[in-house]
Amino acid sequence: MKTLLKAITLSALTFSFSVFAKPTIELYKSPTCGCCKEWAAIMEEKGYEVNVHHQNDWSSVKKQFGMPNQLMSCHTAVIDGYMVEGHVPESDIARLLTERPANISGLAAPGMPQHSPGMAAPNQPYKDFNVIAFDKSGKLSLYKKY
Amino acid sequence: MNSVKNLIVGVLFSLVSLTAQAETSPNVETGMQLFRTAGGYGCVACHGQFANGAGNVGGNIRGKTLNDIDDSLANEPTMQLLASTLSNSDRENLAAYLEALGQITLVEWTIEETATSSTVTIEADSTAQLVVFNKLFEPVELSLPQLTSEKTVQLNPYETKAIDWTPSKGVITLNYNQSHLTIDVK
Repeated sequence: MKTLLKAITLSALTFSFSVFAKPTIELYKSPTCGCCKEWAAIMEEKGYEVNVHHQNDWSSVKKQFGMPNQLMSCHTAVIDGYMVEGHVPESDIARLLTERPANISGLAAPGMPQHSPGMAAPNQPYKDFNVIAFDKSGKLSLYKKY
Repeated sequence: MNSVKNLIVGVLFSLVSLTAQAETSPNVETGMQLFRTAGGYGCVACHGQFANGAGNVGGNIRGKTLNDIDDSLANEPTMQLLASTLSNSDRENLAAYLEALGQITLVEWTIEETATSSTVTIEADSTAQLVVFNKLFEPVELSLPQLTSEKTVQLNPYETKAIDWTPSKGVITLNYNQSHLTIDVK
């Protein structure tokens, strides 16, 4: 009986982790950039674990996902099989990971938009930038407009 | 072993860059390259492809001087980490590039889905730079006979390009679908 209970508890735990635990973020950033950590802090607050990789060149990571250069920002995150470039809001990443679209390889908030997460002052609304989706061939589409 | 290798590579690299700097500093072209690559992401990440700001947090820094650069690297929290990676001659080259851009009249044009129409007035006979941003999700082909001898200028989705030209008196109108810009050259 005890063993059965243990088995049930264990499987319930495993189940809840697989459903509720958020994936780990592999974050590639330059050691000299001071703003990426603000974005990472927001993601940690939302329950993600963030693994930071300090590198000067991680273009090979971006290449795997087909992101065109013109979408470049200062940091690149790999989350559960998708790539996220720059200061993309957590809500868009949550939607990406729930819907898991097969026709895009990642999202980007190009450049360093003034009113984006990690850039905007705390509690200020995100505005005046677009989150762009891209696929492995470099084709772009609008994911969300702020 | 690896750290020794890294050290040797580092020393060699510094020697190469020292030699290069000694030969060319201060140099607009070197400054431009550095503007696109500093720190791995380039000054472009925060200040736009042509230092024009382009809606990014760092804003327009065309015309900034060596003093301005030194001051920002020392005091701006987001830039302080970069300070140790930029030598004096790096900073001089960056300043040369920014000061050169400061001498050029900036004209910005964004091609987008929504209808836009604006007019800018610039001076004749002094160098101007059109910085055009294709905010559409399709490639754009522009014909700009008053600005360039190139037959067409191609822009990929979300790509920004700059075209330098010396304007003559008159009115230049740029149109692409619903995006319109009138340049009044006085």
